[in-house]
Amino acid sequence: MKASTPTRWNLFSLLLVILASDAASQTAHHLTSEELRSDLRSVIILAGYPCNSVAVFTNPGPSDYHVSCDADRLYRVHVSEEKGIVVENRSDPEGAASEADADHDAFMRRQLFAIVSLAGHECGRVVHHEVRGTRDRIVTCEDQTTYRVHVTPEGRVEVDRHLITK
Amino acid sequence: MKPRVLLWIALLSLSSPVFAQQSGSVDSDSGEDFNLEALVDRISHSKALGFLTKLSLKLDIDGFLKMIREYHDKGGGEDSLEQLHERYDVMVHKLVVLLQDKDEELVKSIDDGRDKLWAMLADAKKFAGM
Repeated sequence: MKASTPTRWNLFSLLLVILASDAASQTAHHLTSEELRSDLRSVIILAGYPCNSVAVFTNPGPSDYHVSCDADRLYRVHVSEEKGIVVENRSDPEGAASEADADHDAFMRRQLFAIVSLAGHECGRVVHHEVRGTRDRIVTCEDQTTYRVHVTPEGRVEVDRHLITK
Repeated sequence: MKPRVLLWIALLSLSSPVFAQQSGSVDSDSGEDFNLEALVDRISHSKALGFLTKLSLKLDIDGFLKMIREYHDKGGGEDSLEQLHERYDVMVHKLVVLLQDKDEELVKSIDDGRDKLWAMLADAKKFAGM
């Protein structure tokens, strides 16, 4: 790796934080409430936490949001200079909904959780997944609901309830 | 370069030395042109993704590109190339799910380019020479 790479990355990280702060401070002024809710919901899900819809949010400081999802889940979303975007589970600080990407399977489960949740389906966490074909998977959530996640010829990702036939 | 474009290049981790020297069109194996820069520019101008979401996606992509780089540098890594391809596929899925109800044309372009981009990432010589 070239010696200049860390410096380049540090500069880009700094740029991102500056732009993030700027953009986050502008969001309250330029984005509609619905757009901001959608952004916050996506970020929470991408971090591995469930959030079907954002009920209420407050913006106590620049780049800092306190979010209530589905009436009983509280999160704090903020921008950290060190970590980038940070989502804290305020309802259950010890909760392990957001699995660390310790290994390949943990990474895949978190990604598939995000895909299923972003498509509008409830899935506390993914407990099992298997390949069914090219870009075609079966995903099992913790409540044992199974979904088929596949790509259509048009390039869309479809997430459908899947009934297992034995 | 416009800050917005610069940001998206950073977001997609195309700011690494590998991608920084990349010009607009890339010859794919099939001989077709794949205009990576144009695709990045379209994503940067898409309003389908919120800024916080873009920042979150960037973290995942950073980690993924680091793994690809380590794989090529060391001739292997914790994940096999097949596993890296799986990671790439689900990350593209995730981006598509975020975009598909708001920017259908962009989703089509991403679908058209995903295999070409993977071919570039998976080939050590192409990755190093891009």
